Amino acid sequence: MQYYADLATMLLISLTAVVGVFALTGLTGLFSFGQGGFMALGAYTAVLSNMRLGVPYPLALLLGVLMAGSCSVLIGYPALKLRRDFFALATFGFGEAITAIFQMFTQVTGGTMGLPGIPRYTELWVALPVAAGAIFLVANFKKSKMGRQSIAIRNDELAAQALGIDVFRHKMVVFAFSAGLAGLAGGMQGFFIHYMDPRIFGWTTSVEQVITVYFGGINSLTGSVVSTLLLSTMPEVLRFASTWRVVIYAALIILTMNLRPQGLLGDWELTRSSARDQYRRLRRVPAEPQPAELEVR
Amino acid sequence: MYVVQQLINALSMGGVYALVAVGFALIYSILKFSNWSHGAVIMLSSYFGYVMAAHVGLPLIPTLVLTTVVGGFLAVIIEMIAFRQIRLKNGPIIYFFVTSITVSTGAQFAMYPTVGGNFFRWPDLISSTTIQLGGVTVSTLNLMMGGICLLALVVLNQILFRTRIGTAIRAASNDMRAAALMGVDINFVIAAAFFLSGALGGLAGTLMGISYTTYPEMGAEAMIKGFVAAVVGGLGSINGAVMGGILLALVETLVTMTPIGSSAAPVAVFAMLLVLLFVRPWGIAGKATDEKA
Repeated sequence: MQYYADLATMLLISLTAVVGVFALTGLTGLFSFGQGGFMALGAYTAVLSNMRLGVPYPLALLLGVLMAGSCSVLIGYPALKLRRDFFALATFGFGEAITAIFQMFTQVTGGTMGLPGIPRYTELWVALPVAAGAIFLVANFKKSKMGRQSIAIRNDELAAQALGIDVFRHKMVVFAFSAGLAGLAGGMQGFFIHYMDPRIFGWTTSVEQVITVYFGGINSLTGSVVSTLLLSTMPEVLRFASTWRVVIYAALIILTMNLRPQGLLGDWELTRSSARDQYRRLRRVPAEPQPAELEVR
Repeated sequence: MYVVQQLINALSMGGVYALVAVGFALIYSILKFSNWSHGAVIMLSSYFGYVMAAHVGLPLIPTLVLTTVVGGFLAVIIEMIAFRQIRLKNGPIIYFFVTSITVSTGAQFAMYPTVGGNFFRWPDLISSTTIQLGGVTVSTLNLMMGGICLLALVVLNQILFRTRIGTAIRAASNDMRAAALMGVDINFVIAAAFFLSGALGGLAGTLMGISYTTYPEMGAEAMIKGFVAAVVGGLGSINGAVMGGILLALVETLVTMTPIGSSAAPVAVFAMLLVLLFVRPWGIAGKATDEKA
């Protein structure tokens, strides 16, 4: 039982980070390859403040979020003025620099030897409401004015600017938001596995999150959630082929990208009405007659 | 003298970084995406070269030639499996990136169940001697590596600027649509570019295997170096990639020589990358262009 609880906790932690990436990469079209770095910042801030200064767990998590968020403002201020591809490169350099710095200061962080003996506070009952809250936030973000502005910026930055959206400020807010979620996920992960070293927050972590969002479909938050569930549990389900699981995983992603470029779910979102439609389609119940649409002239 | 010696070592390492970066820049210049599957080509051809050298017992030159050719074909195969469908469907550039990084990860993890995560030490293909050059001791290995890299870059330059296919590659990198309208067979040109890029990767993988060892993570590690070098040089610029590779190796060596030591090298490298991106994001040799709306 403990095994399934741990698996679910791990999954919920990654879910918290992935929905942040969904807001940044999926909706706003900004590629951050430094999310791992923000997770590392959140994790080390939370864990070190708890272990060295005795800050209680919830406050330590909050400190981690603030640390990741404020660092994202520091790095975002110059980086978001760059072209999008250079922004991706700058965040990549930032993420790698962060993990390299944590490896360098061996006295504080344990360096590559890692930081052992971290108390375990993150349990399923902590991770579940946190992840649910993150999903709720992002779902509302997508529906809000902010979310629609994000999509406008993703589709055509110049046109969005012409419509009066402060593109730079908007990107900054979304970047800080996703970095904060990454910091939260990092902090929870830090208090989960008793041990951490900077390498678990390298660029592969950031890339995995971007791949997860693309796998689910960049327009669908449900897609991101479903693909996190699939891609995180797949290694466990594929235990019979444990040594080959990452290869199978890679093959699946390549197949999806080649055959279904809009991602797993495309534009589909799970809402009350879309769920009802889906249910009707499965039970072959004819849809209710829709009220005739007003013709706009 | 110690400094000069270190700098010469840095130059030979820089040559290998330059090979990786040029192979990366070649694809970037045509398809405009960061081709991380280059790491898979480097790693797989390094394993191939190891088998050729250690089990078949080939000497140095045939091993180098074979791995170069095999690397080229590997890259062409990867292009056909992972990128061709996306390209024909006019998929967004980011999909190329996502699949390329997945190919790299998949190839790396395919090694663990098959050959294991071991470090394979190559047999001595060249006698590891040193020669004295005016008070500076240089190992023949480093000299040879520098020489081979230089030769490979000269050959690449000749292919790109003296042959029909080279002209076609340059035309396609300038404007793929216009090149296609002028009757250039784009599929063939892209395959040729992947072959050249893969050949450089295969050569780089072999040289890294000879000078160090061959192991599953070497592709990803080489790719990070080559990527930073290509960005520093200016994405898509071949001369820039060469300069970036050498500069990267120099910075690494110089930082390692400071009292902080080698643990500061990655920090310095990424700090250099960040500063450069903020000051001159188009790189040393790239041209500044505004994003078109």
